Amino acid sequence: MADPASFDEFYLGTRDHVLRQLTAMTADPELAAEVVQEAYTRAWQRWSRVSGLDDPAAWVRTVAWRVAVSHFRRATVASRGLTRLRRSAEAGPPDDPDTVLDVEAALRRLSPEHRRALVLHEMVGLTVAQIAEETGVAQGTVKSRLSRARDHLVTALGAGYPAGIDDPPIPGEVTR
Amino acid sequence: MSIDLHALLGEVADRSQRVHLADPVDVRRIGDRRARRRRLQLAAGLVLVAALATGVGRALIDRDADPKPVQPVPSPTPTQAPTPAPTRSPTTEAGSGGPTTYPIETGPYRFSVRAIAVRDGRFVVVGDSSELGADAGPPVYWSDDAVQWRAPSATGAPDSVNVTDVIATDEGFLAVGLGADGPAAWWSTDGRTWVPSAVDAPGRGGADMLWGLTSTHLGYFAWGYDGGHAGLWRSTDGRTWSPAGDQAVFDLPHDEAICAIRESGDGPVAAGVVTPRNSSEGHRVTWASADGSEWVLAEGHGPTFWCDPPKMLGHLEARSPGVGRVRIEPNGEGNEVFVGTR
Repeated sequence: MADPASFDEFYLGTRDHVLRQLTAMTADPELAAEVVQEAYTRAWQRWSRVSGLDDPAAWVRTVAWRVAVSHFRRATVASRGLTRLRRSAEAGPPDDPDTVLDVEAALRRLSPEHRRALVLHEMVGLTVAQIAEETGVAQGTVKSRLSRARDHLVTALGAGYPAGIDDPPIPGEVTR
Repeated sequence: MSIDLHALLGEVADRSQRVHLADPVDVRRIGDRRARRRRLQLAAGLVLVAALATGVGRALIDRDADPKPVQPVPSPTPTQAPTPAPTRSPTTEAGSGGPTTYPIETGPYRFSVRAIAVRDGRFVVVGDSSELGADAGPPVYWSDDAVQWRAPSATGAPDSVNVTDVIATDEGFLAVGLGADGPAAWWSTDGRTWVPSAVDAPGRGGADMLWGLTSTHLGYFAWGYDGGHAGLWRSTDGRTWSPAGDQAVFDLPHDEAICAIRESGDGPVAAGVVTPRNSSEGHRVTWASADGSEWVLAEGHGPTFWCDPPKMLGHLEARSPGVGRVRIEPNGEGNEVFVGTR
């Protein structure tokens, strides 16, 4: 019998982090909330097993991502994407900072797997090896995705975008 | 150029602050509900296997036979007018200026519509959402225009993957079907939030369920299987269902099923079919009652016919003043409605 109290503690302690990560991965807060909720529901259904994992939050994050990918593939989401594109082309909501919309739009131009790798590295703080393990691809593929994601973002945001600190090095990657 | 990716991604992630995640107790409730639905899917599979093993099941699969179903029972609800299953294809009708076809948007879930009802402009469709090996969706959808259909909330839908019939009443809607423990019924005042009714089914098993229901001047009647034989239930308010008299009268030597309840001048009559085991032919059988409580086998033999309770005898059409006639096609694609007259 799964322990409700331990699940509640886990859920309340991790949901905001996972939601933020999925929001960045999907560039869609509503979709992120939907898939995160779904992932935690599945976690509860398997809580006796999931609670024994080294990192249950990583399991939830992976499930949420897979659910998101299935959403990406559905035609209904495609129509939502068109709506978002139209909305992006028009003026944003009054309380939406332009910079956030810029980054969101740039993120959406990345492939889902590029976004995922970027978020896992930049936000979650996983190493290339850890990303490779979570995403099920070779470390070389992870490095390639991170590099391409950065390049695409820089291109998409343009030279006029506010500059920040230097890119953090990717462990195991040769600095160019 | 260098950019602070961590900060930029953080800004995007901050937009999650606008959305609200459910409380943990609600997450667990949805998970538990889904687990029950999985068990129901297995039960639905058992029902299908059991049906295929009976003469009634043979009617489902014998496409070469000439079905002669009993006439559907006109609903006493003024907004409903059941008709036999239509035979025209949606394409033909649409191409000739007939009813317009609208899909019931069910997202990733399977849904095969079984019955439709309307009350005060609110349409409700019920059906079979069972899908072995995948998550099941809700078995009920509602609409105010018969075009845009919505599912009840996760906590407001019947806890079922197979709701076989629905009718409108003065108070709202009543529905019957397969529940976690076999025969089940639900009631709703608005079609959006459904409440389980108490169903007294002493012989209930995994292959037992309710097939249909109707309203008469003696109250509501629902029929189906209980304990492996035909059963009839009665209710005065749709919230508590009890066996309609001694159920032994419905347990015939061979496979039998109640297909419909109709009212006669002498009281309600239950029309059904009995099929000898290992036979492809069925015989009409009827039970009669003067008060709805005591039933007698009124007719042992009659014309050969088939009875397919879930596909032929449900409530297939509903009308509202604003929308007009709305029809479902239980033998079609499964998740379509036809709006308009021809």
